[in-house]
Amino acid sequence: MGKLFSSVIQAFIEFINKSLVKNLIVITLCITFFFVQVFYPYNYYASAIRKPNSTFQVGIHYVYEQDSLDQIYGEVTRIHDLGFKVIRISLECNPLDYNDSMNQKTDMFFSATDNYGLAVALAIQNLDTSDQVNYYLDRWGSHLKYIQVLNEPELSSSWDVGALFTDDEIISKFEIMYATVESHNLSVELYTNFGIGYIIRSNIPIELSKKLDFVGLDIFMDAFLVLSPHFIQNLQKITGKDVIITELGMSTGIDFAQTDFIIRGLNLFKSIGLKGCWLVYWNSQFDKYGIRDRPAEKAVGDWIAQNAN
Amino acid sequence: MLIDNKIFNHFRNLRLVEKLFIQGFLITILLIIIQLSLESARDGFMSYMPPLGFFFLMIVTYGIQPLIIGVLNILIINVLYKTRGWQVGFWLNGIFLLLAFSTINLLLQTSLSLPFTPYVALIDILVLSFPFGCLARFSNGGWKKPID
Repeated sequence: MGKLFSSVIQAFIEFINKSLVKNLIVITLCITFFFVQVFYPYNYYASAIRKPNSTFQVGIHYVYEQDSLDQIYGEVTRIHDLGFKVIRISLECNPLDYNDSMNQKTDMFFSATDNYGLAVALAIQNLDTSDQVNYYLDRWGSHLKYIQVLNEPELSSSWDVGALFTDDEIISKFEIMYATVESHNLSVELYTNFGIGYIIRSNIPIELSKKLDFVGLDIFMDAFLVLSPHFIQNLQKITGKDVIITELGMSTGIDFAQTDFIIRGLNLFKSIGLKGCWLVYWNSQFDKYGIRDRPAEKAVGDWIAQNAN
Repeated sequence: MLIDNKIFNHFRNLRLVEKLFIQGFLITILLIIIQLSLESARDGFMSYMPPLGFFFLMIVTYGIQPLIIGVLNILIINVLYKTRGWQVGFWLNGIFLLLAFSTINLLLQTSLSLPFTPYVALIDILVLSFPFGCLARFSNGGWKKPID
């Protein structure tokens, strides 16, 4: 019996020692290692909340310009009651008319956020002008906690669809906008958010982050949620700054899919130990990102009650 | 021959366990050095004429690095076991060892929440040198007889 076993082992060793077999084993193991590397971090963090006691701030982008003036205060109340700590907004104003309806909406919005003590993040878009920013910050700058300088610059169009900003354009545009914001001497934290495209234009976050307090990462689509631990770790490494998820959302009419995507994202980012995650959007007229009046609204509220502190 | 001297003969007379440890130790040290060098040079690569720097970094990481590791591995095998030639190509052998090393490190870094330097690198050297030597020895080999 022992002799048989030893000859079987001997035959097996001789078999795997053949060059062809060894090559095949090595190639198979390479493929296995590759898949382990791709999926292990997500599975590890998603399988359980690894840092249950870490502080985690949940925010949401509110497109208040699409709501009526008398609706805005109530919506901010709803957002607050769900447990959100941050509201992100786009820069919307009319510098030419002090009492323009857009300016009135912004006044109403900030009166509500001040009342509830909510932090506000202003997203300055890539094509906003310094004049607009100056007007906005002069009038409402003191209400802000965070200012986003440019939006996903590595993927943005400069003058037409498909015409990506060159590196020089991005950096000079950033310098102009950064100087404009800094001239107001506000006590705000500055950040820029990046999409996953930053991987092939990493010089942009490396360069811009030198003047930022933290960097944002935007996660859309299931594939990028699964890969996000890699993107987050890499972004932290190359910038040396904290990473916050500044946009997480799914544009779909399928309520279950949207809720599932957002809750999985929140669980994942809390588990990784990030400081926060901001959702897009509260309301959205032209696509299906909005969670208002959908099952995701309640699910997120419940999640915040159980997990955010 | 260059490898037929007193020092190499001494290594050949070591026990198999010791040979495997030496092989694993040398390859682990090389992998750590390359990883640290690439990490410190990454910003420089990425900032060099983007996006050319990114492609150069990819070529160095997944092209040149595996070649160096693969060549070193077969050199060690040929010296320690007095063999010639190889069964698995340099690049494939190198990328295999690189993937094995980076996968183990990823598992350690993720599960233990430890940074690569110094903790995971130390674990690699102190704990994983021998198993890595076994893996490196298994992943390639030469022949005792000369190959035509």
